[in-house]
This record gives sequence, structure tokens and C-alpha cells, in this order.
Amino acid sequence: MKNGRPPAGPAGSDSRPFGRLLDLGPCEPFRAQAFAESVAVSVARGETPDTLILCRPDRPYVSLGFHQVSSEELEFAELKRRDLPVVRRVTGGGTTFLDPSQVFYQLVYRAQPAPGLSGGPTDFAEALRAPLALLEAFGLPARLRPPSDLVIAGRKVSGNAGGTWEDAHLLVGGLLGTADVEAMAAVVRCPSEGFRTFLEEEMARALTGLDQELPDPPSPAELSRRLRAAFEKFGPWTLAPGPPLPAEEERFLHEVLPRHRDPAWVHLPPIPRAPSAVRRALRVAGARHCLLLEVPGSGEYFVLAEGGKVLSAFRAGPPSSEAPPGEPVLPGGPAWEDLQGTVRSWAGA
Amino acid sequence: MCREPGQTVTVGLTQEFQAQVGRVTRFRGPTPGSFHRQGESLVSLESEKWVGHFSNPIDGTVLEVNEAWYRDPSALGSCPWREAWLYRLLPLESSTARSGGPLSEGGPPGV
Repeated sequence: MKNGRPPAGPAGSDSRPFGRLLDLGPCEPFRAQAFAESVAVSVARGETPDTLILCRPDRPYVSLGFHQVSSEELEFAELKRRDLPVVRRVTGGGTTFLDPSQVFYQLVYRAQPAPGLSGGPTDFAEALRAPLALLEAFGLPARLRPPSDLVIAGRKVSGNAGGTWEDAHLLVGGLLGTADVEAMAAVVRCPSEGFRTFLEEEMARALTGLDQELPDPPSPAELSRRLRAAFEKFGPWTLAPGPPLPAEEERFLHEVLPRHRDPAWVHLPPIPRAPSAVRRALRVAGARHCLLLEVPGSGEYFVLAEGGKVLSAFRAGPPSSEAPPGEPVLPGGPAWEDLQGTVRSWAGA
Repeated sequence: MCREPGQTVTVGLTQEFQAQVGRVTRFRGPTPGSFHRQGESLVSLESEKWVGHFSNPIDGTVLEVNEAWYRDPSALGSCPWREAWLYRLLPLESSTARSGGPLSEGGPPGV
């Protein structure tokens, strides 16, 4: 027990504090992603108990992490072609592609105190007990890969992120019914189609969906029902279902939604950054990243790195005329050593 | 939040909260010279998979932002009044600070 509060435990034993369950069902993308921000205000003000939101998007969309730069991350022409809205979430992490196969859970709880979730704003282990238990109940060898991924045989089936908003903490995530890696790779800005193929292959290795893991995967509605039961049994709170407060609907409609639809919010200007040889870093799984590096005098490179180690590398562009773009960089050569040093420095920073 | 001589206010995060969120990798702060009401979200910090948004505790004009957060946030120390302050502002005379939450109150010895 940390901070003098009881640990989460199954109902029946049942010292868990009381929480509200909002089961919103299928929602349009902005509601699916951002209704929790309206709930956070109510929770922070003490107008409602700590709350678990369950929902799922009724159409595909793309979500940016709060600090990401839209022009660096997104392939706008592809977003338009696929008619995908972009939602900048208030929580952390990278660019994600969401679709109706996914079921979301969003825990919203007071920053001080946070009964049932004792570890503060990044208490993923306690928050993820329920989805982890559900995967185990499906017979899947799932585990938590710190800090916040649920994986099956090393492949991510659930990504999760946290945030603190209006004096409330949010821990949000979802279970992948289908890992649509083609769509995921298509909407992320890539410097070349070769890199996009490379990215898609990496994502296929790094991600999985329940449709790949189970012979008879549940529908999104059934998955949501099972997830609700898992949170009732293993979640941090004893849940009581309830509707959104009228004030939460009002706030979402008149404050949250207009902010999210404002291009100034979606396309927040870049934040100043220290000069770096790493022009872009895209996490594909765990500590594994795709990096775009610029090595002075040598050119640009795409690098697949894990921690501080280069796994593979390809030349991307000028200034070298000796090796054309797309050529693999061979381990042991001078360029490889340059890249290794840059990546080591980046990982250790 | 710490009121200093000349009524400047320094805003920082409690050491306890900094310890909870871990190594910070991204920071977005307000623009010096801008006026902000109490409660406006002025600062965001990101550590691995978490982003915190922090509201301005008092009406006032931002005088200075700690640009070290932009250069290398992971290198900052944990003292909210020395290395790890977020921003300084000149409060409206009539304004009363909001208390509580992860923003630090008090200050270094002797202030």
C-alpha cells in the first residue's frame, strides 16, 4: 500500500472506493477522444466521483500526442483522401490511428487524493489490471511492458497514455480489435515510399490485434461488454453506472469541442527544441524507434534503433553522391559508426 | 508559487510531483509579455507517455520563462525555485492566488 491508500482489488473483498461508470458506447471521434476532458473538470471540482469512461469510435480518425507537430507527423493528402479527422489529445505519446475495431477505457480521477490509484499520474500498472485480466481470460499470454503497453508475445495489443488536466489525472488506452498497419503507415508522414513500406513492416512486427490472436474474436460491442465486466472485477473502483452530468455535456459542446475543432489547436506551433542530429523519432514498439538522422557532411539516414543501438540503416538523401538513397548502410563501416555514435548520444540524452 | 521581493511571482512544480512524473522530455510555456488570467492552462510538460497541463495560479503578466526547459529539460534539477522554476509573472495587485495542486507554494529559505 502506497500513500496510505488501499490497493485496488477485486469486488467482494471489497475495500475499493466508489467510482462512476460512463458507458458511452459508439461515439464520433471527438467525443470518443475528448469527452474525458469535460469529465476531468467535474471530477477535479468534486462534482462527481472518479470515473471510468468506456467508449469506441464510430469511424476511423487520427490522434496526435499533445506535443507533436502536425506538419511533421501527418500525411495531409492521405488524411483528406480517407476523410480522417485529426484530434489532438491532451495526453502523451505519439501519432495513433483509431478505428471502430478498438475499444477505449479512460480513467479520470482527482489529482489529490487519488483513492484506488495510489501511484499518482502515471500509475499504469494499477489502471491496466482490468484489461490485462481480460486478455488473460481470453487465454492470451499478455503482460504489461512498462511503462504502459500491454503486449502478447512482445507485440502491442494495447497502447496507453496519461495526462493531468484541470487538476484531474487521465489514464487512457484501448484494446486493438484489428491492427490496421496499412492505414497506420499511410497516414504518418514519411520522407519516401520506401520508408513507408519499412515502417509498415515494422508495425506489422510490433503490433497485433485480437483478430490475429483469437480464432473467434469478439465484436467491438462484445469486447466492450467484457471490458466493463473486467473493470467491475479488477478495476480500481467499485463502479456504479450513471449518465454524463448535464454540465459535462454542456462543457463538451461549448468548450471542449470548439477547442478541438479549432485549427489553431490541431496545428499548434512547434515548441523550441535544442539542435539535434535526430530530426524525427517515431516509436514503433517499446524502446524501438525509427529515426531520421542528419549526419553533417554525410547526409540523411533512416535508422531503426533499439535503445542506443542501431539495428539497420538506409541512406535517405544528399549530400553524399557515392551511395544513392535507399542503399543499406553496412555494419562496421564509417557511416555505421557515425550513426551508432549519434543514436547512442540521442538515447542517452 | 512563490512571491518574491518586488511582488514578482515564481511558479514551479512541487518536488513530490516532479518525482512522480519522472524525466521530462518536452516543455511548452507561455510567451513573455503576455497577460493571463488565473486558471488558464499555461504550461505543459511531457515525460514518457504522460503530459501534464498546469493552470496559472494568479492573474498577471508573464515576465520570463525558464528557457532551460526548452534546451534540455532532463538536465534540470528538482528545486522549483532555483533550476526548475517554470515562469515568473507580475501579478495584478487585486489578484489572489489559487492554492493547492502540483504547483509549489512557499519558496526557498529566506524568501
